[in-house]
Amino acid sequence: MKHTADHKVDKAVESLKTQEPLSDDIERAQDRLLKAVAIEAEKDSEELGVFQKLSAWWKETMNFSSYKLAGSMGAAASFALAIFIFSASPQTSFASMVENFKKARNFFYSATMTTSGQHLMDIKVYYRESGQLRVESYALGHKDQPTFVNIMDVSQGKGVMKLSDTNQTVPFSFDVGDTAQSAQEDPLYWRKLILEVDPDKAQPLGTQTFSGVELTGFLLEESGIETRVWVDPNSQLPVKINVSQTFDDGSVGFEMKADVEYNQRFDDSLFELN
Amino acid sequence: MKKKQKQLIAELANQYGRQVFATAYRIVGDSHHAEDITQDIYMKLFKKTPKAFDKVNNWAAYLTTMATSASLDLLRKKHRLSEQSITDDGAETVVSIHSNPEPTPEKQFALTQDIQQLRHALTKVTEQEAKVFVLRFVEELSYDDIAQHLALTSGNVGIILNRTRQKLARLLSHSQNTGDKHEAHS
Repeated sequence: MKHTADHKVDKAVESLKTQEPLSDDIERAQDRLLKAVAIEAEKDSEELGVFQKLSAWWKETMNFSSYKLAGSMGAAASFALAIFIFSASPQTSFASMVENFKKARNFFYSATMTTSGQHLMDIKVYYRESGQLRVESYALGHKDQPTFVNIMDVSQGKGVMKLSDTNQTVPFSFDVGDTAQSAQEDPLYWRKLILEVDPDKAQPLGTQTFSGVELTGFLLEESGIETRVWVDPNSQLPVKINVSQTFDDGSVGFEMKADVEYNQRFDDSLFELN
Repeated sequence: MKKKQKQLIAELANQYGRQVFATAYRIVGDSHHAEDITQDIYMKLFKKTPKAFDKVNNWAAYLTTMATSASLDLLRKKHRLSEQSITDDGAETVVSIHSNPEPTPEKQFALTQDIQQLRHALTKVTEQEAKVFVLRFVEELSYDDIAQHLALTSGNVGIILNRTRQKLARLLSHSQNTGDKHEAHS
């Protein structure tokens, strides 16, 4: 009886194994699967398009009223500065760069932002380790005078936004050290990435010469965003940053190129909240 | 999600899509359901974290396990519904004869009976037992692969297989004796 029962199971299993779909059905299902995967991949890119959102945010911000602008910039900048404050452990040469970066008393960087190859805006950022931050935003066609300036004291959670056209100054406040929200709208998102990334994930890019100086590069990838960090071998600090979002079709969406300088002499007036 | 991860999903769809579809089809016996299951499995991959991706070292086994699990779930639901409605018979348990283009009526009948009874019996054992059994005896995965993807030890896999064979043998014998698949569980 036992053998008969076992045989029955084996026979049924063998019968089940003979069940194969029609080749036409297989190919039709396969075709639909590949299309569904392609659509989902594209959809996923749109949902996680950090820098698409960021570029949209910048555009939107430029059209905001003064008060909205102040709030947005204040929030964004507070997140940005908080990112500098909360850092992570490094190792090897990438790690030594991060260590040196954390020791920097201050830095300045200028960056150009483009979207799909078109110039979006420029920013200049001044940071002091005391928690003072100044972000100058230059709209298209305004190279000499910033369209607006945000000055923040993160330790106090206070800031002002200054509009150049009207000389209007709008004070605002923000949560001190609030890094939990709106990371996707953070113009300094890439900074956080550098500081928090697992050093083992930093892919060496070798060396490349910029303006006669040979820099060592690292590639960081996260959520479809590629961040290239170029380190000065003498200072062991990141002096060039290139952040880009490449779509599946190979085209580049948002891109930001930044040049960074460290331990500069900043006039106190740059950070005055009055 | 990282671009690399999306590329991997596309590659997995290209490489194993047909296999996943065939696995689902064998269990549910319906190409439309099998197609739905296949797409669902790949869509779920988009929700996986990079860490979860890194943990998978045998994608063929992983996808087969996913397909088996989803297909058995559907089979279970269909049987619950069929038992509620009582009236269903042939429509819910489709049997393909594509692999044997000219079966005699007797052989076709026997094949149909075997498959219907096994599918039904698989809904009468536990989910875990059904998965382990199908993965081992139908999909022919190794003990280690089954253990890894179902979070079991290889020893457990062996124990479950032995127990499930006994249960299925009883269920199939009962079906054969009564000649009615709906009485197998009573």
